[in-house]
Parts: sequence; structure tokens; C-alpha cells
Amino acid sequence: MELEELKEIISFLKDTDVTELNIEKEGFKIRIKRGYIYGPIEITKTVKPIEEAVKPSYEIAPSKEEEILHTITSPLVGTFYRSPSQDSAPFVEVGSKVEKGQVICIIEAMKIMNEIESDVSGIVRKILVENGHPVEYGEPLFLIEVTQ
Amino acid sequence: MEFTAEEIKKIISSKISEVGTEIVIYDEVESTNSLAYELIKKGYPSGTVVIADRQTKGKGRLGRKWISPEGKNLYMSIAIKPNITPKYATLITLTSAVACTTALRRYAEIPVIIKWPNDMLVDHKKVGGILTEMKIEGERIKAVVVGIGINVNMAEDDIPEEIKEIATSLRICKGEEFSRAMLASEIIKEFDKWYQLLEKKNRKTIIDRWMQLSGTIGKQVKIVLTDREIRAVAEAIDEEGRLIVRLPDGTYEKISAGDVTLLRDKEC
Repeated sequence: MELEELKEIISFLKDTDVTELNIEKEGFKIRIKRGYIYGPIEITKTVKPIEEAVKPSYEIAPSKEEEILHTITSPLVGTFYRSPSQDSAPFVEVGSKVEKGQVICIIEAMKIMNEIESDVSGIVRKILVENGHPVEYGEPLFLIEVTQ
Repeated sequence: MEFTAEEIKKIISSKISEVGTEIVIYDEVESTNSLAYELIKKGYPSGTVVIADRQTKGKGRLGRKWISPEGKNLYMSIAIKPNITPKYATLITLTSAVACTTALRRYAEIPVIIKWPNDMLVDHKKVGGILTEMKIEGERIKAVVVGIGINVNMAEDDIPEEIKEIATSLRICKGEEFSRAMLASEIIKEFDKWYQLLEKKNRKTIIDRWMQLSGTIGKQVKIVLTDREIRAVAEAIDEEGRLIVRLPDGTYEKISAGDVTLLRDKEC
């Protein structure tokens, strides 16, 4: 973002009731806060983020962990089950090793039990949905650390 | 009448396009659903039917057992590879219920109704149930197995005490025995017909027929969900087959899973 653009935003804000504005764009982040008590416009942490803007910001880039882990998402809307029946053990736990093609959960929709298979081999690092909870299409279910 | 694949094929006689082109009967299997999936994975054609005289691990929803004594009932699974998107796969549930209920009404002449989404009831008791299992790969359906269990010739004494209040059989309802081969062929013919409509995206015809056969719409229901229980009036189903219910506060909710109980008048 150019300095001119920033000035424009600030002068635009003068005539509004907006007291706080956060802008996040590729590579940088700006937060503008306005307080009526301490003057018309107060800009906090603005200068520093602009300086940072020249180099890539690690704050908004995906964390190393998320980059490595593979996400398994729900292919349909339904109810998420971690085990084949109410009194049996879950298909997988955090730390479990999974093979590609192994069933890791069931999603039920309209009495159709959909067995969801892992599409990678690896280790389960995170289970993101609780047993019995509804899930949406595309909702992340598991994070898997892929092994060769 | 013999209970063999040849006999069933002979009775079907009429032209079927997909379902029932391959029929295999076993004396005993763990679960016809599991076996049907194995067969389709091995390369059996879409529409393969697996029937067993007895199941040692008959499956119900969420790992519940399906009582499967020898020689009395119909335990049948149909493995298909539907050319539909996972979004409309839910309609397979309605399609199966329509096919089975139509066959039961015609063959046994009993007023069977569908309880959402696909249980078959006579006078509040279950005469048949369907458990569908599906494998999805990305955006594509790999295979669907529709497991159908019909209580045919079980007598009162054959039904375990704990489910006597909720289960019945054609024999108990009608006071006579029925041919499992005849019933199987009726279901296969109906399934083939309705499944072809689903493949041709003729969803409205299926939903309309389901509504005609349903004993759920307009009734007071109790729905047990994993985290809560609700009482409501079943109003309709949507194009994906979900049950639309009206809650006591006047709001509506769409239900896609859970155990539905039809409340009798005194329970409302």
C-alpha cells in the first residue's frame, strides 16, 4: 500500500463514525484506531506495520504446522461419527497411524452411512470435530501429518 | 418354491435394466452389506444383489444389530454405482423406501407406510428396515450398498422380547406365510424401476411417491438427535429428502439424521 493511499483512508475516516479499522492484505496488516478523547485520529501500530510491509509478514502466512499437515474435509453435509457404533472404539485417535484408504470416520446423512477414507498415509495430528456433531460440506475434519 | 437365485430370476422374468442382473444367494454370511461391497469392489456389475438365508452380524444404524434368524426373513443387499453427485445421494434412501414399500403393498397386500426416511411400518411396528452404506472418493460416489431387511415369516415367538413392542412380520400381520423368493423378486423389479428414475434425475416423481406412501407427514414426531430431543410436526421433505419439521415455537428445522418416532395421539 502506498503512503498516499493510507492518507486517503485516514482523511476518509475523519468524516465517519468509524473508530477502528483493520486492513489485511497480502504481506501486511494495518490497524487504525480513532479516539475522540485524545484527538481526532489516533493511529496505533501503523508506522511499524508499514515498515514491515516491505518484507513478508510471517504473522499472516500459514504456520509451518498447517503447511505440512494434510487436511481431510467432509465431502457432504451430515453428522460426524468417530466410531462405527456407539459402544465401540473410535476409528482413529490423535497419534494414530493411518494408511491411505483406511476408514477414519463416518458421516451420516439421511440414514446413509458414509465411510470416509483417508486419502493419505500418515499420523493423525488433530481431530477437529466432536463425535455426533453436524458437519458442513468442505468442513475440515482431520489434520494428518503425511509420511512417505 | 425354492429360495434360490435361479428361482428368483425366473420369477422376475420381465426385463430389468440394471438391478438384479446378477443375483447371488448364500446360506450364511456375516452381513449381506459387507459382502455386496466386496463383490462390487471385485468387479461385479452395478445392480448386483446379495441375499442370505442367515446373517451372523446383521447390521442396523450405528452398529445396532438386525435380528437375522435362519430361513425366516429376507436379508438382501443391492450394490450400485450411481451416476449422481454426493449431494443427491440422500435420495437413494427415499428411492429404496419407495421401491420396497410398493413391493410389500402389492405382494403382501398390507398397508405398509414409510416412516421417515426409510423404515417400513405396519401399525407403528417395524416390518422392514433399510441401511445404506456409501463410499465416496473425492466428488465421486465409488459405490453404494443398500441393505434391506424384511421380517417375513417370523412368528411372535421368534421376535426377541426387547423388540416385541416395536417389531412385527408379514406373517404376524396377515396370519399366513409368504414366499421369500416372490418377495425378493418383487423388490428387485421395483428397485430397478425406481432406481432408473433416480439416474434420470426424475427426483420429483420419487419424492411425490414417497409422500404418498409416507405415514410421517402431518404427524407429531419425536426426534432424538445426538445432542438433544425435539417434538415437532413433520411438514414436508425437501429436494434432498430432509425432513422439514415445525417446532412448538413456530420455527422450522431441517432434519437429516436422528431417530424419528411417530407419536400416537395419546403421546402428543
